[in-house]
Amino acid sequence: MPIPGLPEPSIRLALLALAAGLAACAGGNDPQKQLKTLQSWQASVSLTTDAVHRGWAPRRYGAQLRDRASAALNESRKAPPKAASPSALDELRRAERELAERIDTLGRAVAP
Amino acid sequence: MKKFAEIALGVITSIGGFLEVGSLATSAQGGAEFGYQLGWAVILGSAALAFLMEAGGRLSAVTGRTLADQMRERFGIRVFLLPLVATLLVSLLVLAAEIGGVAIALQMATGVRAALWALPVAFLAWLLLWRGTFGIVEKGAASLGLVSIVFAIGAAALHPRWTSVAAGIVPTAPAHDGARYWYLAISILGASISPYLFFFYSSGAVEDKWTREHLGVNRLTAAFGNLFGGGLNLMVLVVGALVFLPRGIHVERYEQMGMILTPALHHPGFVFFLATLAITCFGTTLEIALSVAYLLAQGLGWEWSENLRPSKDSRFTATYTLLILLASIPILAGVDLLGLTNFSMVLTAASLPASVLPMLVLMNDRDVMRQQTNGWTTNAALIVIAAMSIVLFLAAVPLQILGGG
Repeated sequence: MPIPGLPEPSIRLALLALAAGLAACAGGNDPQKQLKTLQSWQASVSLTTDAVHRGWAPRRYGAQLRDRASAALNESRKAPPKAASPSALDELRRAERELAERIDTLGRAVAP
Repeated sequence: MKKFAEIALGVITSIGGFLEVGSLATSAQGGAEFGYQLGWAVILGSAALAFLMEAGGRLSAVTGRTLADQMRERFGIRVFLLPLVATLLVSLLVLAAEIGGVAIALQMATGVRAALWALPVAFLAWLLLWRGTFGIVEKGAASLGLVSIVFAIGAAALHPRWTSVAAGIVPTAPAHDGARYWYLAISILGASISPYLFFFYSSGAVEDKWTREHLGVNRLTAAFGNLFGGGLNLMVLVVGALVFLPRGIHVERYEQMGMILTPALHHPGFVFFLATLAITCFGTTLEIALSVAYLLAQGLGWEWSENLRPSKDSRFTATYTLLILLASIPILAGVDLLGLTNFSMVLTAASLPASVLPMLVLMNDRDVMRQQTNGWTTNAALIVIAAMSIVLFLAAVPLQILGGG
């Protein structure tokens, strides 16, 4: 039965399907996207480590960046991609190890 | 000479007040992910804002009344409720993002969590509005915002290839990540063409008692203020493109933006970035809180003016007090600030038709504008902006889902 003020049921169904479709496209852990995120954090951590070493950025800022990068790393480790090939998974694990090493380096740079 | 001083002050105010959390974040993200390719969105947004501000200022100078006031009278309260509610909701989100911008700058400077800065920042903003006058809020905050010129210095120090920057002003299809590209384009446009800006500008013209004699000042302020302000916004994109793109850094957290100026300007770059973020977001916090209070007061027929004592316009004062308090809650709760910023910019873009379409009708109404109705250039521009606002409205939500992650 049509509800006054709302579109026809068929249109509502189509809108729901569209929303679900869009959500499905956006959802899930895309291994490529996850890898890009890890590589982005690797670069951020390196840039910050360099800036802290040169005295361009304070150590307290470096510590915040380290914490954010660690949170991104933990998130990646907790949510491995659902449909990734073994080689993509290997690449992801390598990127995680690389990020962990860089976080350690930054951690040493910001240690009091 | 007096006119020249008014224009200069207006242009300086526009430049200093142009950058805020949304334009800083979205332009840096655009530069980081697509180089100069989204330069067109920055320029288009600034040009659209210039036309909308000019129209709003002209209406106030001719009629002595504000845009919101005229909209309510011309279309009735029922129709006016649409721009009122849309602008109110979107501005509340943007206000939260601005308070968050100040808080994150203070966090990066001190190491104290952003959530703990939310209430002190909100209180300081409220105190300035309570005690200050329109002149202090508008010109004081925006003059301090001139610190954002550091982005132009940073861009020059990085020696971009200017021909490539200029090429970015011509829209081109992205070579990769189409959904993300258009999502960022909409975010940049939303950050530039916020309805609160032209409502605020129109209210400011009434606060400053503009008359027909100010039509020239209005035109030049809107044109040059947005030209230079938009240029500064473009420099954020350029710096993002030169610092983040070659390193593969995607800005996913504000903390990553802390390094945006250090490769070019070293330690001063870090300090000036934080100062720019804190000052421009604080100035915009004041403007949005006032703008929404103006909108409600004018729409509902309350007494209003930032130059009155709070006891003389208590409902207007209560509105900005409540708004600031409400907007600080998400920051206190520790929401993802960059996510909030992006989301609020996209919603801003989606809310545009509610304000732009009635404005287009109003600006062509001879009963309201008399001899100062839109000429064909302004009409053509406003029609394009209105059409663009409808496209943004339709595309915003799907792109938020597809490209927002």
